[in-house]
Amino acid sequence: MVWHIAKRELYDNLNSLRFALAAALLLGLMLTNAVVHLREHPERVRQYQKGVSEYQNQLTSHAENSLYDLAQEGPGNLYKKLSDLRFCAEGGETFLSEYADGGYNRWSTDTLKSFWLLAYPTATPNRKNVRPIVTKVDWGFIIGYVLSLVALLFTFDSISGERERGTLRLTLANSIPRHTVLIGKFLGALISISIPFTLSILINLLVISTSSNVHLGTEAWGRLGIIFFIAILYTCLFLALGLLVSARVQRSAVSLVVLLLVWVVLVVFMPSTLASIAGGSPSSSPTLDFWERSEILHDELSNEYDSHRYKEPEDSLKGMQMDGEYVIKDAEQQEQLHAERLNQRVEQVIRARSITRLSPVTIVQHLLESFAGTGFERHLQFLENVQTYAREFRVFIDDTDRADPDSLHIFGVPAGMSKKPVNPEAVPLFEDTLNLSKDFNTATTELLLLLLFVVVLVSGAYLAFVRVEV
Amino acid sequence: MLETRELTKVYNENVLAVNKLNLTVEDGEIYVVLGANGAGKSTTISMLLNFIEPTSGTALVGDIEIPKFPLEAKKHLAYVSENVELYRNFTARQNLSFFAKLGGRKKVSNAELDETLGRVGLAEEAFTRRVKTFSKGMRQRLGIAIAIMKDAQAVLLDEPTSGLDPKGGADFLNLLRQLKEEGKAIFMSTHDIFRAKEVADRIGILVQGNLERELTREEIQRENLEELYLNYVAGYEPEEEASE
Amino acid sequence: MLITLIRRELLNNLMTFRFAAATFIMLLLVVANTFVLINDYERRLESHNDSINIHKRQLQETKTYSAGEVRVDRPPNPLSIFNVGYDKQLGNEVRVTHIYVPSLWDAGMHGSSNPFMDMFASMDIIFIFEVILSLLALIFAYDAFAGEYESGTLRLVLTHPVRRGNILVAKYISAMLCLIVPLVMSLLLSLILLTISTSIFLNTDDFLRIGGIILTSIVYLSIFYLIGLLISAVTRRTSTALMLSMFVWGFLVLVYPNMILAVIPQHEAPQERKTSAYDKIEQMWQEFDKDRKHYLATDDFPGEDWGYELRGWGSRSSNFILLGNPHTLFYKCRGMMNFHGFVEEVEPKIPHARKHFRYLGSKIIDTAEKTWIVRKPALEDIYIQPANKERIWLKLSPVGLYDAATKTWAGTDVQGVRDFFDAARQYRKQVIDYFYDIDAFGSRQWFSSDKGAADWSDLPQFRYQRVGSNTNAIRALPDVCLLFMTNIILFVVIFLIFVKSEV
Repeated sequence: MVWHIAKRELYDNLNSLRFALAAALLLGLMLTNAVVHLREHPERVRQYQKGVSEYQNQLTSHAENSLYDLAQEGPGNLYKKLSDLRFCAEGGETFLSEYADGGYNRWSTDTLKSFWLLAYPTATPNRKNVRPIVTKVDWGFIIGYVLSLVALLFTFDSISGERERGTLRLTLANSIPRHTVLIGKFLGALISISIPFTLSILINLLVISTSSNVHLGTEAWGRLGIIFFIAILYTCLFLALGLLVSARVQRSAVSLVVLLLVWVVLVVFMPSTLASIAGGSPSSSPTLDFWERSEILHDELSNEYDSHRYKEPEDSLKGMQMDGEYVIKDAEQQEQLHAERLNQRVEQVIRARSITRLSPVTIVQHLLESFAGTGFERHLQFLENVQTYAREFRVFIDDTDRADPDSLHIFGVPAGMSKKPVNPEAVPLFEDTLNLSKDFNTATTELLLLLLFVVVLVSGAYLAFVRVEV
Repeated sequence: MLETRELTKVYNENVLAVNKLNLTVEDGEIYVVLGANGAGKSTTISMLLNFIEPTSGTALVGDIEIPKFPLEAKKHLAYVSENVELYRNFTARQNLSFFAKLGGRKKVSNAELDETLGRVGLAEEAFTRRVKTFSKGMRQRLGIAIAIMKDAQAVLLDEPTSGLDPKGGADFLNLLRQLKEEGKAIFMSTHDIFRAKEVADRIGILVQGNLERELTREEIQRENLEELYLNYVAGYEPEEEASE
Repeated sequence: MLITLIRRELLNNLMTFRFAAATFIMLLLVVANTFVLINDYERRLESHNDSINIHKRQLQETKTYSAGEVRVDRPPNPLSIFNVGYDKQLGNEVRVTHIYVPSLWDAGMHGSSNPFMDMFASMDIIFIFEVILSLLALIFAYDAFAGEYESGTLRLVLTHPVRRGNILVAKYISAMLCLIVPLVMSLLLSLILLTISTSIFLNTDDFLRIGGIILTSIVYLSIFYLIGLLISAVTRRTSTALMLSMFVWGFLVLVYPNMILAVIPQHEAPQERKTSAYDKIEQMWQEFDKDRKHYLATDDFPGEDWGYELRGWGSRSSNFILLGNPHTLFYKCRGMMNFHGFVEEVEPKIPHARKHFRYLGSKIIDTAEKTWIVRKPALEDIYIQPANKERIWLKLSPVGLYDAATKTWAGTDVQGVRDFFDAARQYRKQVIDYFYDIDAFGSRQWFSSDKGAADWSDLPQFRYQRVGSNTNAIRALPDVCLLFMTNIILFVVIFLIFVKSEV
């Protein structure tokens, strides 16, 4: 019986103007998405590969020079692994740096050079960009905005419209339980939206996967499957909302007005307004800016060093130890400062992100980001990988130096460290990884939240429909 | 007086909706045009109101040619449609007042509005109710009230009695008779033979755009109208005959 | 007659649910967002003031002229609350120095801002209008004709001696009146909130600009109402009209502005333009370097060290270097010297050094001016022109036109931001003149503070005033005119369709 009703709904929808328009809109957007991805992705891959090979070359040349060189210069720029599924969710990638600076050096004097530290450059593509600012047309946009709107347009009149025409009375005059009617309507709408959506997604993937520049592995297809499932779940949310309002409201025109206004508030305004509110509270109003703080810290240290150093002869062991201590301490302090700044910034973003989760569109975008391997959570994963690697790298330097009996084991000064060249192959290489199970972990909250939304709205629609007076 | 001269309407160059219609409705006369669905009744009324341009021929109200001076002509025409919804969010009084002003009245007092509404048989409590709560019969009465209020020389009614209950129908015919007493030329289209018989001074039978027969008051009384009508209609709808 | 029609339409509109909903949602969104936006503005203003103070303090603490960094800060535009435009994203901190002519592409950002927060789309009042006003206009319009066709009232009205033109005009006027109510009400409320806020000062010019924004908003509103009317008149069925309207809205507001730039071929200035300009600039600086070296080789002082072998306490860079960035065609020379004491044998070298720095100062200024003549048009071609071309594509949708026009009114468009850099360049000239006047380049304080530190107290103050509202008006005029034209064309088309239509 459910199927019977669903079939009628489906038939009704397939012949309607909205079906044609929705199909055209979705198809056009998905094609655009594919074309843009094919245009931009190869260039990104090229840049990434260039960066990685540069990093490896540098590492090799430093290693072949000496251990000191390697320890002083650091590993160099560590690049974030690209996601093949960036067309699914842009995730504000342009605002996140493509690499972490694992070879940040600040000063050198006649005798000493500063040691590398881990710095986190911030990509600020906008600072010099005078071009118009637009949202990227990724799957996140198509699903989050367009598909939700289409879902509402498919359901706003499904109950109120039938009541206006009187067909609801006819239907309910038969011995059919009401929930069957509701489920039938729900399924009918879901299937009629899924048809153009699935079709456009398939065409999108066809265009992308037939190109020789992009390779989608099995894991990528798995991720795409999850993304598709999320999109359907998200559609269900708006279908349920549509049915709920349609059942509560007498006329379909009113129902649409209500739905559109709810949609606009939920989807268009809530994310950015909430983000501005949450991002609003600054961690602390700084009276000194970052660079000044860094300079003061450095000056304090070097003043102290200067005041003691001149007492010792240039190349005495004591003097060298002082040199080494100074260099290492300076690098530690500065790295600490950089990490602090990063943490402050990250905390602010996390706060903003968690509050914006009240809007379903943000939830779905976060989910898509997680599974596409882009966006902020992924960036944090990358930063974690970088920090792990930095530790590994330092431990390696330590161990190699200790293994050299000729070395004085004084870090920070050329004379105090092993002078032998290092086998480049023994140096640990940075390998950024994308991990599906980790992504699942970060996504669970959001997934549950989305499910909760759907369940609440579906039961709301059910209750509303059961009480409808026909 | 309402008159049509060779009034013709051809849709899309080949569908003949009304063919050289010649008829006259005198003042104080009720002319009923009978016809099946699609016979051209509504098209005729639409042309009389200049909703659509006639392909050829003309129509007059008084001595004003309707297609040539539509705005002037409309001052002398009132119209009641089959199913008028009116402005749903307005009360009966607001609707009536609005249309009265459209008809050229500068000021309309509530008393006058109420009198007209009472005259068409609307209950007093309904005057200030929104039209969306009205039944079909009440809306139809309001439609007549609008026509009465306009005080036009000719009144055109497009199947006004369809869907009315017997009492409503009877009241409606009484209202028509009152209008007739006032000397209006009344042109009504319907497929309700019995009501036509009851009220009409003359009856025209319209079949596929042609005026096949005109019956005077005496003929109406004399002949078996029902049979006559069915004959005309049946002659042009052989399929229906066959299916039965 | 017209009055009667308008009155009926007005009453009809005012009594509908949609009017109440429209007013409510507009007020809610605008007021809530105004709070957030004022907060945001105050934060930016605070950050701006902090920066000014930090820069002032840092400058005062610098003991030599050559090490001193005069920095000017771009204040946040109070009208960015209406349309944030480029106010937030483009650099707001510029170094004013003699070694290069500053442009938008050399500006930095206040240290306290969090670049990650750029990920979140920023919201402004015009964005709310863009989305909501257009939606409301369509919701008001979709059944204007279609509904009356269906209910039969149009027939009834037309049985009366009414011109169709009058009906159209009446519908238009009354719906616009109804739509303007929530628009003006919400704008007034937000203005009240603005004036209450202690940190925001609006002058007469600002109110004129806001007037311009309101006017443009009304014209924008009218476009969407007319689009709705057109759909309503053509489809003649409310359900079809509604559906079509919503898709048209989704396309114009949501899809087109975001999609079009991805679809059109990319406008990029040819790479050669960049390289040739950069080569030219580099060559000029090489020439400068040659002259500089020539001077060092031929002056009375033996040796070619740019620092004249000055030794003492403090710091100096060992080499005089040239630095460039081919992407932004930026080029400068760097040689820093900041001493606070010298060893004794240095004293006789100092007159030579002062002469040299006096020569170097004017030489650098000349070269910087010369390269700017090349750089300015090149930047225009490489960055501004392609962006302008893209903007034209966006303006094919009324949303784009409206956005562009309100940005221009608010002064947050690229041109408005660039005005600040013009002022900064003007200020640079003043600073240089001041340096010449006090012979800063040739003074001992240029590189050393051992005999008195640099005195910054007489440095000319930087003043920046946004351009007058009449300039904003002239800049916004083309877009506003286009919006008007669209209105007129739509109106004429609807009129022709409606007059010819059969009821």
